Amino acid sequence: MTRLDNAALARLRQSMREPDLSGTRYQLDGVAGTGGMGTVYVVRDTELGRRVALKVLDVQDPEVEARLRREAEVLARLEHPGIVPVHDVGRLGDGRGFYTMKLVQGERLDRYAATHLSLPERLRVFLRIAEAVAFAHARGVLHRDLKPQNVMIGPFGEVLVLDWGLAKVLSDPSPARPGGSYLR
Amino acid sequence: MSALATAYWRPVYGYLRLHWRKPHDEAADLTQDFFAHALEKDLLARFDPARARLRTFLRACIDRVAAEDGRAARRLKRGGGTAAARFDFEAARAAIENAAGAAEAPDVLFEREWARGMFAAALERLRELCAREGKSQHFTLLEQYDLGTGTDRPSYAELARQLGIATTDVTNRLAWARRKLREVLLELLRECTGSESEVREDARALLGLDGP
Repeated sequence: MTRLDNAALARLRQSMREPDLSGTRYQLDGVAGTGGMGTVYVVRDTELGRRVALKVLDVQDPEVEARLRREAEVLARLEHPGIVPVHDVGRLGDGRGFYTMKLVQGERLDRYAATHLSLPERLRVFLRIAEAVAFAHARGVLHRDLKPQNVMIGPFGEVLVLDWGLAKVLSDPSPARPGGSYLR
Repeated sequence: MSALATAYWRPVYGYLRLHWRKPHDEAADLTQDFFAHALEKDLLARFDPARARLRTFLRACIDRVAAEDGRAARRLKRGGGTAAARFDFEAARAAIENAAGAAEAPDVLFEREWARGMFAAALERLRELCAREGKSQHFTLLEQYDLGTGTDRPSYAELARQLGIATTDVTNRLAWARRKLREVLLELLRECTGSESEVREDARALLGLDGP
């Protein structure tokens, strides 16, 4: 029987968590964050020579995989400067579903707001969020988990609404109309 | 039952040492007795995954066994369980006694020893699989890279030099071994759990995704 000390056990656990990127165009660079659905890794796209974010399920689960897939599809239909663009979707060699998206580096709104206290700056951020959400609503998509932790402020002040995993796509969205409401 | 015993004998032994403060010999005897009893009484047939996780159920069963007065004496008269040859209690003893010295909580120890048991059993299956498929070098790479005892891992280039293969071969063979180990782990979990949702919950715990 193989003897496993604590260090080896920790390494094995980490190895088993990491995405199996063999046979893909990506190389692992690090971890960007973790969430309920899975983990977001920083990977290098070797074809295009850029770093992107790869979101992967921690454990195979058909229900959660369907949500991940739906999130990628929602992002794909929301091309807007305030919404993180998706690049690729698929399944890794270990069977887990994944998608890649733009790597957003910056500060979460809850932390950003703690140090950027001016009213004009807060209003600017608020308007950028409202624009992104209004754009999504106009395409029949409700975020349903909008909170400061799901908004990222980039190094040039760009505002991105993230984490569309709970988004709902309305089956029959009305066309965009100023002042229209999708609140239900 | 074989997969269950392989995965759970260490946590059961450790739990008896730490939670029930049983001395080594008595805890080893009780562990053997517990699995013999589980097999004899078809304990798993009473397990309802809708009510509790398997680990919770097993801990409750161990508590019942350990709490029964006079049971140890009856067990010794019978000459102990039948699994003595398979359980290396001496090897587990030092680790458990170290944990006792560190004042580790019995339930934390139970979870960690369960993970250690599952990984150890999965590694054995993987070793056998690699031998059958003529891929022993894949297992060797996993052993050297992921199971080494030192803090510094060898680089892929160093492993390639040692084994006389290309660095890309190290990458691909290690990826294969890890992928297979993950498959084997999930297969073992399915043998030891009652439902797919429990497999997923246990997989999260096994991979250390649910906290310490």
